[in-house]
Amino acid sequence: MRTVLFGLDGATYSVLDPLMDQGLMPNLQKCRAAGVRCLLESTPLPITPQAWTTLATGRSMGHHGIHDFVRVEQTDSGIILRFNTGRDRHVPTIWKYLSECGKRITALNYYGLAPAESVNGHTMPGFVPGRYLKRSSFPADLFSRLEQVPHFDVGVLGLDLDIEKEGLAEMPPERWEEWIQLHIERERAWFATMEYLMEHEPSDLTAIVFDGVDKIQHLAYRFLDPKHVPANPTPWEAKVIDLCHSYFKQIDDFLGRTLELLGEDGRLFIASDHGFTASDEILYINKYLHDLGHLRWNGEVDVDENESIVVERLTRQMGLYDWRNTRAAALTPSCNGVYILNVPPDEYEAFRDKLIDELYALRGEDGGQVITEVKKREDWFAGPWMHRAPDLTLTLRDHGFLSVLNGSDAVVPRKSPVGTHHPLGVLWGVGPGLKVNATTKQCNILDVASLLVHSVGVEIPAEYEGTFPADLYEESYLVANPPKVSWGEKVAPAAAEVQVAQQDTMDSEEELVLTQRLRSLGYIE
Amino acid sequence: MSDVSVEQRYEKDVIEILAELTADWDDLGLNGAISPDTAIVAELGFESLDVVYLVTAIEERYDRRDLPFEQLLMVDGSYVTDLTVKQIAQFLREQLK
Repeated sequence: MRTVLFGLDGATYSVLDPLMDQGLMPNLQKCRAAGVRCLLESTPLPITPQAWTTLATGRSMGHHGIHDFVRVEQTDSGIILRFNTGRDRHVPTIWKYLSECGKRITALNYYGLAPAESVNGHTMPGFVPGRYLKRSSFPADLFSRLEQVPHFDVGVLGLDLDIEKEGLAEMPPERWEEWIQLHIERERAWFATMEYLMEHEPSDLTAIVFDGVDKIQHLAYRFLDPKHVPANPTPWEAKVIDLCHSYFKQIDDFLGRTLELLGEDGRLFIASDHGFTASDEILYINKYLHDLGHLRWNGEVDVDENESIVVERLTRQMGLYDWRNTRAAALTPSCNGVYILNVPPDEYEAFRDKLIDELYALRGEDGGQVITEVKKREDWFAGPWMHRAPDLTLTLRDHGFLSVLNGSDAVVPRKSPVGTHHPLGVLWGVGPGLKVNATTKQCNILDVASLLVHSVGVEIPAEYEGTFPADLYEESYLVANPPKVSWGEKVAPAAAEVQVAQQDTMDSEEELVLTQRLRSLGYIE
Repeated sequence: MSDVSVEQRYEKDVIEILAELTADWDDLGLNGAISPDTAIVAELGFESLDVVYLVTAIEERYDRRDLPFEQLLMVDGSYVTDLTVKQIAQFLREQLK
């Protein structure tokens, strides 16, 4: 069935529901009445590269290999940061898999699509500077067809790191309007691209991500979540609130137009890679590690006074530390990770256990525990590529990101709350077979790939780690259209649907073989 | 092949890679053609992400994913601030010989 995945990067019900209640998102409101929704649990580190890659592959980080925007490598020349690209992903995407199954796909603005890979359809990557967008898109002549599309502007579509960084630090009030407006224009350019392709070169699966949801919430969460919106906004605050509403109203218009293009015979899913919430303090983790004696700065290092979490240029970061005398450090802000360095293997376990205790012991000004969870690499990112994850991944009490800068204190309250990623995002579905006006149990982002693959009528690869979210569908629909698992030549029902599908599709011998295979794959007990 | 001609071959390769990489740039600041002395940051306006694309393009050109670019990009634990075509070519000559 023709399917659309409407990706809203960082979307959360705490913002979308109030906007719907205010009548600002009537098309989303219609989706609520006409479809089904649930919470969507993100990856253990809820950030764009890891989460969208998991959604697009059905595999966890340890298997696909993408942990963060950059990865840290220890070399003979020292520590080096490498940007991850699609070549660092080690399992196929659904875009590739569906293409190989004869389906046509369109994927726009997704992370990890560069360098371009041959598919049956179109890909144009997200998180790529405009100057590389053409060469990173597929097919090679796609741009020549798109250049006639209104609003199609490479300069607007592409990533501008300087602009992105502005949204992650204190921004002067006079910059907000232009910055939000820019994201409104970017979304318009991306949607115009999708609209053109849906009209003129339609695919079985069309997928797009609107990443401005994340960007605007990072900056302006306190103007979107009613728990933080000022009761009596100043004229400037009222203007910002109005701009944010304009952004979401435009997204809602896009949703309405997408539903129109899709028609009643198509199915639409809305998914986010993670949710959002408010962060009200900054953890200068390297200041804490320094105070513990685990990290030594490379000379005098400035104390951050701008509520920043990252240096102006990432490459400068590497010069901040005295590597030879550092045993633990946070190297990138987005991975919330602590790397253990220069610790001999036979001392590693003991050092790590002591460090974990010390991390849990950190207290804020109010005496509360700041770090609520410390995840060991092998427990949360198991797989052939887990070495790309930091030794420890931290979850903070306000879900904030670590700052890798030096601070006046380890934990510093923010002047105003900012948006940060929450592990629970959104998943909606509207269309044939899906439940109506329903809310179902929480799903995991690992489950979405099987949902999409089944929706376009293809078997679910056996290696997908999630569970088919059967709860989103009417049971009668799945009896007639059971999800099936494929491993090479054999095709079998997906784990969640074993009982339903067995009724009609297999004889007892096949059932026995299948049950053994599912058990061996860990799908059933 | 003599050392000079090997060096020139890699310089030619790097110039081709850079020319292809920057073909879509509207804001290429270079006056004239890319030469062995062209500095990629000062003259071509490279930023950190551009280096990522350059590394990828070089790896694709020579079908190698194991080149130790840290030896080119880092000195004494810190990233270099600029590179010339000639320096990149010398690195490739040493690594690909």
